[in-house]
Amino acid sequence: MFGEIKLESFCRLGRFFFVAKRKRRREKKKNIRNQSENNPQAILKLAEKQLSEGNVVRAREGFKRLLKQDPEVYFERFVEVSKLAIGVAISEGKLTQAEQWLDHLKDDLGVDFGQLKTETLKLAASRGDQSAQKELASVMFNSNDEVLRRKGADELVLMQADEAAPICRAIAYLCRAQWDEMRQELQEIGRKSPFAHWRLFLRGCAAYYQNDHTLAQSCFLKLPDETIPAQKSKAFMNWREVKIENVSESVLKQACCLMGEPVEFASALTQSHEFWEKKKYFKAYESMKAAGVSFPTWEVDLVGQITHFFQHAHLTLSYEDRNRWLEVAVKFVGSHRAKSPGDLYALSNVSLHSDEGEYIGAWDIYRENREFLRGPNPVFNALSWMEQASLALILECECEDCLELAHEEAQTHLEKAIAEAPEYEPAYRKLLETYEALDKTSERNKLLDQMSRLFPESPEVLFDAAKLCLERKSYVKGLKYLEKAREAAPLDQKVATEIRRGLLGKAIKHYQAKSASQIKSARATFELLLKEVEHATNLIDSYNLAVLKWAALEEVMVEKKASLKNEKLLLVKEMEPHVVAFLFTLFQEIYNELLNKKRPYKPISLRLKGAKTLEQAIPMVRILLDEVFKKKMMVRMGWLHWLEKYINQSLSKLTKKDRDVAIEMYRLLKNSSHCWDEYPDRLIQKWLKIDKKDPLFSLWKFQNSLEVPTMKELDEIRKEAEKRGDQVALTEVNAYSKRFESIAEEDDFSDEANSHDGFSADEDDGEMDPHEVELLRLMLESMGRKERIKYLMEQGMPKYQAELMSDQFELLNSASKKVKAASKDLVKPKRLPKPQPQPEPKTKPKPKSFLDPNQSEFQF
Amino acid sequence: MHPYRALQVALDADSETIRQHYLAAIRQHPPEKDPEGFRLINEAYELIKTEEVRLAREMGAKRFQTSFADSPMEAAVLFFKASLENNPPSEDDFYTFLRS
Repeated sequence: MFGEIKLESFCRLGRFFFVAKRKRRREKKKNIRNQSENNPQAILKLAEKQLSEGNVVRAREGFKRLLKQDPEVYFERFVEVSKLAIGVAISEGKLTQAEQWLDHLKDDLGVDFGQLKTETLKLAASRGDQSAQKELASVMFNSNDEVLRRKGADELVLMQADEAAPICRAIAYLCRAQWDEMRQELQEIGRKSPFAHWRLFLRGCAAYYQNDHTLAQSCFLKLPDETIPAQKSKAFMNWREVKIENVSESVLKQACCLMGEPVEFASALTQSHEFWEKKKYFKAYESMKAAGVSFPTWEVDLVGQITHFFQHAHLTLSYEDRNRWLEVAVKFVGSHRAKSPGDLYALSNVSLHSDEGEYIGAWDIYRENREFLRGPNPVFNALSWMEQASLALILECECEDCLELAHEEAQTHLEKAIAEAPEYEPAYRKLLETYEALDKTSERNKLLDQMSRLFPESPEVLFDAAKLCLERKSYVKGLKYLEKAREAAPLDQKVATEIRRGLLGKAIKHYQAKSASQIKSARATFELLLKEVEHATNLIDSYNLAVLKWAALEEVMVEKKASLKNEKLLLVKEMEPHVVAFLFTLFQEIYNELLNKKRPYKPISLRLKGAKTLEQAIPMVRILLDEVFKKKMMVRMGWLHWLEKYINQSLSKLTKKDRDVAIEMYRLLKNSSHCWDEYPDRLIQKWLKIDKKDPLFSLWKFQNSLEVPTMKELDEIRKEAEKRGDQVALTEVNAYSKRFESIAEEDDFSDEANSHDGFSADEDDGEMDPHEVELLRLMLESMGRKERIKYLMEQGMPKYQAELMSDQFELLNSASKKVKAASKDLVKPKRLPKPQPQPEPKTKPKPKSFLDPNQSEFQF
Repeated sequence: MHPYRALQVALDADSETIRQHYLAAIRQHPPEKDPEGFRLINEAYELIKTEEVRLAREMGAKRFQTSFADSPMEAAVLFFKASLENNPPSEDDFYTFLRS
């Protein structure tokens, strides 16, 4: 028991000492803290640190504590920091706080008002006191600090104060576009003036309004950043170069302000844009209506432009989005939710482009509301019916029945268009076309007569009527209409062209009749036609061609005895061969139609034959090659056959002096679209007979025959070219050698290169493995024609060759299949007896070479 | 683009008035001095030179719409772009702009 009591008291004693010690420790810490908190140096250090970090309010607290400790030392500093804190509070809108601090300085500390003037004014100005604002602006304007001076200047301008009078006058001149007066006013303002940045700004504005965006930008870039002009200059964008993403609501507001558009529209537009981007199309439309501006409208302003956008937005949307927007518009119109004519007009316009639009009578609603809003307009109504007619003709199914129904529907609409506007000519013309499509000849003729009575002076009507007549070969009536059209529109070229066509058609018709009197009329018509074409300026209608046509008709349609020995027709013989050839290719279809033949026109061929030298022949060949390959295949084949004969004959005229011509002819034939294998060969052979060692032709001989020359042969050609100084030949030989060497390098058939494959050059005879050939054949057979051509071209073959090879492959392939099929049915032939020695056959006469100048192969 | 704004004509202007404005605009923006402006003027004139074209454009015929706007904001930008004659605002509007 004594032990327990002892233990308990020991514990109590221990606890007592522990608590006392803890207490002493705490007091010690507190004393240390109090000492440091009350230490001015520490407080000052902290306060300065907070001030430098921009934490002015806390710094002020620190200086306040210092002030309590030592007012004399820290009074000025505290006032200074307090003023800063007041400025910060005002800028943050904490006006009450600022006022409290200001009062503390004035009332509690007795600071002189003069020292606190700026802050007092700032506070008052923030509360809307205009005189305080003005005074503050003056104070800032008169300060020594440049930034403050500019700020003061800005405020004075905005207040239109007397100090800013020159700037205000300059602004007035700017707004009246009196640029010279404005410039004069600004001349008084020096570079060091606080208003100098306004001078720059106004000059920039003037440049902007005079569309000198470069000068404007250069002025605006020099503005000091913190000034009002610098901020406002951003609104002066070069709208022609602006990007949508750079246009924010604030920019739009400023732009609206500048351009006299309603500023409240800017935020509505931004909201509408956001909805539109989110595909909430109707909300986008409604947010514009809620803008408090007159939307929709058709004025020439921004609101009108946005109305226009909504009316035609379906043209820019994707298919799905477009349908969505149209559906919205149709529902709105169809459910009669829209009561305002403006909405009905705008959205019915949209509904027109939806298939359902017609069911809800969108067209009628559209017409009705437009008339209500913008007054009656018969032409518009007629146009709308015509547009309906055009839309009726847009069909998915173009079978005869559907087309007929569509045309009948179009007819109904067009008749309504005419009823709306009986003097609107285009409606009649559309109806005429519809009658044509429906083959309603009597209605068409009636309409045509009606039109010629209603619009006797209209060249278009007369022209349409004339065209129809000409199409139906009523040349007399057609030409009458055309003459009237010409009187109404003497400068209209299409009328003149149609007259020439009409006269030609009339003449041909007369010739086709073949009677003497008709032929006389035909000739008279041609005389008229020649007078017409004298004025024509295009090649097709040229005088030469007209003469050519006449000459051809005379030759074809009139017996030789009765043919006209007209001096004009003799002109054909005087024409240059290539001119004749060119003109003839334009005319040859008529000729072929008349004769039902595909041979060229005889006088042409004779004329061409008359080309005395190869040099004369070359332009002809060039033109004919160009023209022939524009024709369709069947016509082309006929021409080619004739051309081959002609080239043959031309080559027969080759002489030693014609080297350049021969080179030109070779190149012409080689580069033509057609594959002239034979003729380039013959040309080379012919030339090499004249000049055995000619280096160029020797090289071409190898190239044409696909033989690979040896290096020795190439060297000989090169030496010959060097000896003759033939640079052209030398260049070609060198190029060929290079190519040859590079190919040889790629295909290295040396033993060393291929020994690991067990392949040696001796074994390679240059032929493909039969297995490989078969694989290639199978591959080509499996391809379509186009694919085959593409494959061959990828192997380096020129296109024309690839086409030819592909065609030949097809022919061979089909032939071999037929042979294989046929051979199955063949009976095995019996063994034939040994052939008996035959007597020597008589030697056949050598066929005459095409090169024989005495032979004429040129026959028709 | 906004052809009426580009040529500074009212919506109900007739063809003759539009032509007069077009010729005046061409004189103000000759091709050698302002090729872009010249191009815009010609484009604008083509869109509204005859009554048929104007009415067809109003109806929404695609062949008469150019410079499609993809959004309301783009439509506004196109409108401002068509402002070839950037006339300065009134004095009141200018000060409102400066004070905004």
